Amino acid sequence: MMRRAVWLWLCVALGLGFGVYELKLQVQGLEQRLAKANRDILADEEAIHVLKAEWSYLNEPERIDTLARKYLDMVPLAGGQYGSFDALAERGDGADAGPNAAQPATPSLPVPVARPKPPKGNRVTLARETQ
Amino acid sequence: MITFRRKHPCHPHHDAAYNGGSVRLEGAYKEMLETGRNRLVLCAALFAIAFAALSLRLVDVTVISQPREPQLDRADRPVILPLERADILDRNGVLLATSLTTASLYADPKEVRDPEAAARQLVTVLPELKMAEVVGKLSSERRFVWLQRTLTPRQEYEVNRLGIPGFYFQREDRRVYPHGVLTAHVVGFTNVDNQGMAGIERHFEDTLSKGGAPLVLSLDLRIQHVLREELLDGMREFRAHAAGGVVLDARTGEVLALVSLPDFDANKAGEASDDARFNRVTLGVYEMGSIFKVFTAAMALETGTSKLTSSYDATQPLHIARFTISDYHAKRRWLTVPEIFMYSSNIGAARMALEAGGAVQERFLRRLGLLSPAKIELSETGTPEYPALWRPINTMTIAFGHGVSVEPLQVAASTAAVVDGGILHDPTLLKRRAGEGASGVRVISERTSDEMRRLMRLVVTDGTAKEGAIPGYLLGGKTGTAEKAVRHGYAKKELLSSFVGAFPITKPKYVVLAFFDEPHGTAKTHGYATGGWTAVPVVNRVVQRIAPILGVMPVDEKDPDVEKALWVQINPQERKLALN
Repeated sequence: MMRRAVWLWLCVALGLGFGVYELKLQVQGLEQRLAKANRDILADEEAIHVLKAEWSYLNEPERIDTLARKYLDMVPLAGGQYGSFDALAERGDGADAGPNAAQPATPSLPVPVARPKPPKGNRVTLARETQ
Repeated sequence: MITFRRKHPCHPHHDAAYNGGSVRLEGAYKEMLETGRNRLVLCAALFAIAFAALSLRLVDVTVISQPREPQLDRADRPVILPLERADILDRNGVLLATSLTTASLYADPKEVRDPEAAARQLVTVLPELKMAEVVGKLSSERRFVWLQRTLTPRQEYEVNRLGIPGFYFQREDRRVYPHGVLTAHVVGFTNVDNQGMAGIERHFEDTLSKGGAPLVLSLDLRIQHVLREELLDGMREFRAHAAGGVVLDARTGEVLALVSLPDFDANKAGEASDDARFNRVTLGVYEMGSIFKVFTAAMALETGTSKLTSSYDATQPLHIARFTISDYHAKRRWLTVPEIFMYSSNIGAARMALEAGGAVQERFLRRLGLLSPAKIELSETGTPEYPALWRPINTMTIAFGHGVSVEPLQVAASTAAVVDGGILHDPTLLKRRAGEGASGVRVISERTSDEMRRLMRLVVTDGTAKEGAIPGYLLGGKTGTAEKAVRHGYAKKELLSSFVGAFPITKPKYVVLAFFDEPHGTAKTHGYATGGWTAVPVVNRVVQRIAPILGVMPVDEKDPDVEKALWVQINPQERKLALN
C-alpha cells in the first residue's frame, strides 16, 4: 500500500520535473528566436536606412534630368499644355469629341495633340545643353 | 514520524504499553538515546519552520502579491535603430542628410608581427594608402594607430579577408549628404566628430544631435534643382563672378529654394574654398539697386505723399553736393509714378523719397525688416549696412537702392510682403505644418499692395522686364542694376544685376529673386548686362519650369477680370510710345 503511494508520487514528481524542464527548454528556444528576430529587425532597419540614402542619391534631380533627356522623348511642360476641369467645355455643348474640345486657358498656344519631337540639340525648349 | 515512533522498540516514555515491557534502559545507554531524540526533535522543528516559511512565501507570491497570471515583459518591446544624429528631409520627404555607420580601420602595432608584409598586403586592398607610411605606422611603439577612416562595406570585407592579426575595425557614424551640392548652403555640413559647422546642421545642432524624429525643411528639392540649374546656366552665359537666387512662398514665408553660386559639395566641405562656402543670399549684403524702388513706391503710396497719378520732374539729372543722379533709360520730361516705376527712373524715385522724407523712409525700411539681419534658421546671416546719419542725399540714393546694403533674402521677403496684401512673414527654412497659420505683421495696406501689384505687372508688360513675359503665367516684378561700390564712388562696369518677381501677380503665391554678381553682356543681350537682360530671362525660365510643379494654373491674360485687376493709368500718349 505504502509502496504504491511512494511510486505514484515519485512518478508524479518525475513527470512534473520533466514537464518543467521541457517548458523551460521551449521558453529558452523562444527567447532565442525572439532575440534573433530583434537582431534581424535591427539589421534590416540598418539596411533600409542605407538603401534610403542610396535611393535619395539615385533620385538626384540632375541625374534624373540627364537620364530623362537621354531616354525619354519628352519636353518640359509648358503653360499652355494643361488646365483645370473648369476650363473644359461642357459635354453636349456642341463640342467635338476631338482633342480640340478641351480649350486650354491660353488659346494662343497649340493644343498638344501629339507628343512633340524636338530636333536634336534644341536649346530653346530644353534651356540647357546635355553634357 | 508517528509510524516510526510506534514501531520503535526502545521508545522510552510515550507509550504505556512499553513501560511495562521487559526492556529497561538505564544509565549511559539511556542518556545516549535521549540525546539522539533531542537532536532529532530539534532537526524536525527546524525543518518544520523552514517548510512553514516556504509555504507562507508561496502563498504570498502566488496569491497575495501577484494574483494574476505573470505577464510577458519582453515579447513586444519595439526595436528601433538608434540614430546618433537626426535626418534632415525636404518638404516632400526626400532625404537631404543622414548618418550612415561605417567601419574605420585601426591597428595595434604590438600585435602586428611583420609590418612590412602586413603593409604590402593592405595596400593591395586600399591602394590610396602609401606603403612607407603604413610601415611607419605599424612599426611605431603606440598601441593604437588609425590606418583608414570610413571604409566602404566592400573595403571592409576585403581587409577582413586578408586576416592580418592586429587589425581592428571601429564602428563610426558618418554624415552623408545624398544631394551634396544642391543643398550645401542650406543644409550645411558637419565636422569629423559629427558636429554641425554650417547651415541647418549648425543652427539645429542641439536638436539634431539628440537623434529622434527627422527635421523637415521647407525646401522643395525639385525647385531647388531648377533654380540652381538656371542660375548656373545664366552665370556661364553672362560670365558672372557669382549668382544667387531664392524662391519664397509669399503666403507663409517658407523658403522653397535657396541657391548661392559658386557652391560646393557638402560631403567634401573641407576641400571647398571660402568663396564657395559663402552664402550670398543670406550672409552677403549688397546694394540691390532699382529693386528698392518697390519699397520707395510702396512707402510713397502708403504714406499718401504720392498717388498713382502724381508726376515728378525728370527732365534734368539731379545735382546734389558732389553727386549727380541720372536716369539709365532717360526720358527727359515729367513722369507719372507708374512711368517712374516701369522705366526705373532714379530721378523720379529720388524725388518721391524726398517728398516722403528721410525719417519716414528709414522707419518704413526698418518695418520691412530690411535694416536688421534676416530672422532665418541659419547662423550665416549678414548685417545690413546703412548710413548712421540719414541725410537727404542718403534718402535720395536709397530710393533707388544705393547707399544701403541688405541681404538678398530680406529683399525677397519684403517684396513678398508688398505684393501679398501687405503682411510681412519672416522667411523660414522649416516646413510649416498643415493648418498652421503663418503669423505676420502688417506693413502696408491691402490697397497699396494692390497698387504695387499693378505697377509690378507693368514693369513686365511695358517696362524694363519685357523678357519676363511668359504666356499663361502672370509674372510681375522689378529689375535692379546696381553699380558696385569701389574705393571712390561706383564702378560703371561692375554690376549687380537682379530681378525680383512674383507670380501669379493677380494673387501672388510665390516670389522669385535672382541676381548676378558682375555679369557681362553677350551678343544676344546686345551687350547689356542689366537686370532686365540677365536676371529676368533666368527668372522667366525658372517660373516656366516650377509653375507646373507648384500646381499654378495658367490663366488667360486677355481675360477681362485679369485685365481689370492689373489695369493702371500710365499716360495715354506714353503707352503708345512704349508699345512701339
